[in-house]
Amino acid sequence: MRSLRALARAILLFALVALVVPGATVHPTTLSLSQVESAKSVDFDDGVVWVLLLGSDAEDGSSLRQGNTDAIELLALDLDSGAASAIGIPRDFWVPLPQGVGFDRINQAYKEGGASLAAQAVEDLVGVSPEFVLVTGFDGFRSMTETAGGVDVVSSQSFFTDDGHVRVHRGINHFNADEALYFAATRSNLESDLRRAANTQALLLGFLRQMRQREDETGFMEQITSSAIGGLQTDLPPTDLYRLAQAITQVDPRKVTGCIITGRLATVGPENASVIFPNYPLAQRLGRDAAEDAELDPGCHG
Amino acid sequence: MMGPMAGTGGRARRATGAAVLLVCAALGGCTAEPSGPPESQPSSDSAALRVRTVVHGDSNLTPAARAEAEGAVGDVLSGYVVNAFLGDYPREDFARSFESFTGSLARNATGDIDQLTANRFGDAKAIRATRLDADLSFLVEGSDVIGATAFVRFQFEATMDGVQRPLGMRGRLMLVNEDDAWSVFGYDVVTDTGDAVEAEVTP
Repeated sequence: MRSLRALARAILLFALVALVVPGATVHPTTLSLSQVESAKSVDFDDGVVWVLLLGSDAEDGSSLRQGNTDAIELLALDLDSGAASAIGIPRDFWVPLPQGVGFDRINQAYKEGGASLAAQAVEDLVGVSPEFVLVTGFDGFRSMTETAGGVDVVSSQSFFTDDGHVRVHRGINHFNADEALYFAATRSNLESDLRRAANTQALLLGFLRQMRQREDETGFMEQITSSAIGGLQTDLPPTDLYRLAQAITQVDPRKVTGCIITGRLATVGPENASVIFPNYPLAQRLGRDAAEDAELDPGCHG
Repeated sequence: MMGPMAGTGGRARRATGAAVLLVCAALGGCTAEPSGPPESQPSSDSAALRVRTVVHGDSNLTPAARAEAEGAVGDVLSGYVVNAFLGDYPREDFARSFESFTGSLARNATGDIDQLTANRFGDAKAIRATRLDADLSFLVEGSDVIGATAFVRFQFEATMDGVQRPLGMRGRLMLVNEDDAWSVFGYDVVTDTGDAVEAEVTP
């Protein structure tokens, strides 16, 4: 049974004041509490659900396919247990793109062959096949963030964003839509591209908390779904997107784990382009871990 | 993803026993607008189900489409309320309350039957509704209503052993409209059974 059944016995009906006999014992106060029980369940899919999230840097107004997918996150969701894990994939991973495309950065997969090629490239790397691919761009990201009312993000370090010059504090930051976008896109002021992938995960966790906090506000889930329908490119029909949005709120932020696949810095080609050779054993191990129960074993090392 | 349980549409809407629920929307009104038609009176002493739309976004939803959606969702809700809480008592057939639930959700709901129905009050002599309110928030795609959250507040009074006992359920029921049929695909509810739990504290 996957319903959440938190027994809360908290509603006070009445209290009888203790009779205190002078010079004698103190009598206990008797309370009578009514029993309140909760139950929650959302039907989406059984077992672990794999979702590939892609953030395209295509210019506003142009097709998302024209951009590089610089944010790549593979999510495993176990909606029965409320567990979820995020596997971050650095955009500069040098991989053999399937369908005869050849070696390239993994962030070119969507541009080269759309969602199916991107999903195949990720499957070749991690060993699991994403069931759904959700792609967003700057406009869609801003729209969804605005609808959510901004987002609280926990940053592990302080820095200024590359664009917008937003001061990010270590700890909790509240970002509006533009600030959140600057936070997600910052690279040069960070230690490495891996930090950017970690920031993307921090952002996703912030969105999860925001959705859970506001899910019972009248109209919120419909507004955020409408925003997602307009701001995401996906094969999911709108009704399934609505189900997914409602189902995601079953994920418990305390049961969320995340890792970034690491690799070895290298240069390739006549222009000595900087890329990363992925740590395939680590990628496959993370995929196997999350496939069991959407939880990653402690440690993100291979 | 599963569709609603087969062949449930008609049965879910069938009123049983003496309880007669009136879905105001189906009768042409009972929306949030003060100019709406007066409420109809139920034919029993149970309260009527009051359905009203509180949110439908910035859509182009026409009043007729909204009324149609209210009526369809109201039918699902009224069928659920009748099967889950009303009907002829004593009774044991609470599992059929989930006929309008999607397949996987119906299985989970069976595990939560004490929170989603009057299962614990099966031995009651009678149960009547004292309040049945549902505020609807619609998800509109184009001109079609494709989803809804029903914010429900249901209150009942059970007669057991000559004593009146309250029973309440409030929270959200999530619905989706697929293939011109509405089904419940999620719930997030709190039930107050009125059961007293004695506790002692020493001041």
